[in-house]
Amino acid sequence: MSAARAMMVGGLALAACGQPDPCKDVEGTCLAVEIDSSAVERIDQLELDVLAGDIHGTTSTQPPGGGAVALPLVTAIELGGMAEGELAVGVVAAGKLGGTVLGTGAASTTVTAGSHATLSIELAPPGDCVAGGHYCGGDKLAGDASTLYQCNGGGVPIARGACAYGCIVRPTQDDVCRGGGGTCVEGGYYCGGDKVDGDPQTLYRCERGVGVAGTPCANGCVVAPPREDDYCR
Amino acid sequence: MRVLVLSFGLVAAVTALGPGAARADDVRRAALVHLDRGVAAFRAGDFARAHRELLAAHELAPDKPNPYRWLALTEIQLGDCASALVHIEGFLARVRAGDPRIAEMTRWRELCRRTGVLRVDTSPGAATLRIDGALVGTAPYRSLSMREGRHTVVAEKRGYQPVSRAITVEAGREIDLHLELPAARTPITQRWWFWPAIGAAVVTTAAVVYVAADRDPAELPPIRCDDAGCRP
Repeated sequence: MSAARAMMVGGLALAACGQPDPCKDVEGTCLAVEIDSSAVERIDQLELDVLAGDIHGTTSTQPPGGGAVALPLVTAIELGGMAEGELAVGVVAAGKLGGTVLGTGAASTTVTAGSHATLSIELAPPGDCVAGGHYCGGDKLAGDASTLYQCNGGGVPIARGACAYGCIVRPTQDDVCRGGGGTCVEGGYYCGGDKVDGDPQTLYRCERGVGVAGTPCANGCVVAPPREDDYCR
Repeated sequence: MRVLVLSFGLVAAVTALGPGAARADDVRRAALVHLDRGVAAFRAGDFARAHRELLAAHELAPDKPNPYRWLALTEIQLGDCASALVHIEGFLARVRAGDPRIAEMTRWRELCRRTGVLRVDTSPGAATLRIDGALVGTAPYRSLSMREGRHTVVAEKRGYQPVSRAITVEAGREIDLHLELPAARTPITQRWWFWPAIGAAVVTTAAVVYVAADRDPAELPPIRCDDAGCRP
């Protein structure tokens, strides 16, 4: 099933269930997110990590007036500044109660600029990832299997970036995005996942075909056109 | 001729006396038969029959003391001290001083003089009665020889709550006791409305759970994401 059809089916399902549409008053691009869980009953804070192309951010939303609410619940993610066309959106959610993460979950879809889409996330007890470590989604933390995340011990896993050529699970080291799109040029600089294995927010130097001496990019790593070095934003 | 007249006179005299004497003997024998039957019935524990036989003996031989005695003893067994006292007095009036049975009768007389009469009926009827813990029969009940003093009467009947009443019997007095037994409290699980109520509660709970489960999900405020990141 294509992402567009999935969105349509999801939207129809949401409407058929008579659930409120959190995007109904949004004119631009909007993602209606439904959060449910068989393991978590109530939360007082929902933390979301959103990765949609160049858009990446982590924030939280809470019930108006405070207090806890029972699942399921819905919220909206309004995506601004989107270029025309379709965009893959990955969302990781963490349900908290009293500051403690009770469950995490992730889902991804594709949204067309200016339209609405629906995403359902099932919260499950958080995995046993090591805080600060990098993990592919599904490897000890919730997330998209083709996205590399940083384990956030007290909250939602934070996306490091989508792995265009897949995410490599490494049992004894941080997981990394697989390098693809050709081989690296000796001495050139590359973001992780762009021709060298690594973290998408780290800039590596190509040495004998692999990325070495990685330098973390505080504001993200930008993949440059061919024959140009990638660079930190 | 004189001899003939005398002979006729003797015959006439014998004839005149003979039937009366013979009838008296018959009566005495009949009284004895009734007395013997009465005593046998008494000893067999059939006091009602004993009383009938002894009354018959007493009517046939009203001057004889023994039927009085046996009547008194029987009436004591039947719980009728009032009648027993009459017959005890009749017996004592007809025996010679020194009769060994006098002591027995005077002892019974003293005992009977220290009793009262108790009548108990119940609503509903036919309740089982216990007096001082001993089963005495079913209502209506009458005791003509309730010993004076305090007693506890309990009436019980299936389907009703037992009723207990304390009474004080005074010698020579009568007590009429009426006990009303309230309907027994049916256990809550056996009351007609219990299971329908449980069913209604289950249905209501299920409906509430269903409605709660089917209610609209809570809606959290949206977040906004753009090139600068995400924020509430």
